[in-house]
Amino acid sequence: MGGNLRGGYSFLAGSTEITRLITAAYIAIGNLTPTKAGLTFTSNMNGVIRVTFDLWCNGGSGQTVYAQIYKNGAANGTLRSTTNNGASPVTFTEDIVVTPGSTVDIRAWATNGSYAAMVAVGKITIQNATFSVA
Amino acid sequence: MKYKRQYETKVDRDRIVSENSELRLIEEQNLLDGNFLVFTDEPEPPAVEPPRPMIIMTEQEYLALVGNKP
Repeated sequence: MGGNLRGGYSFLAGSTEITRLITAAYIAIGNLTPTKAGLTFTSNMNGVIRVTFDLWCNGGSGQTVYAQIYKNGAANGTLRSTTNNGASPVTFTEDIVVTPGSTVDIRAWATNGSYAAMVAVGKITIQNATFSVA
Repeated sequence: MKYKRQYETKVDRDRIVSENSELRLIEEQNLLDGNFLVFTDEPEPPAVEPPRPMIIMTEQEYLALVGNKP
């Protein structure tokens, strides 16, 4: 059989971690607007990546904190919120479509200047490398 | 034990959260395969108070700080 396979590689959302954006991030007390937590992922392929992170409020429970996935500098993922403290962080996972050059990061903020949004274990996971035949 | 529930709309989501109010929501997933909520029946761990700031100094340093008064 001759000829070459034509096509490209693409991301497909899965459970294999490819990079860690955040280990433990502390969003400074008083940040009431979306603030980047950790690193920015820049895609070099098309496809879908899976972004996961934990969110909680530092300084006590009952205060609402927010986090959201940003793509190319604009809010893209579902707006997340919790009033939980560090004893019970909530894990959020979302699939994000990317193209070559897409940037993805996680931003968080509090609603009360005396508290802080905490974001940790921010990571990107995919299935093992796949390719498509065009 | 964890319980995973799938939802389609925000109304579904809110209904599931309300119906499982005795459980603790620990994860929310919005995936290509669908939207899911994960609950646990395990109790919330006790909150850990952050450590208080502590100043460590020798007795001589303390006495010098307070003006060598006993």
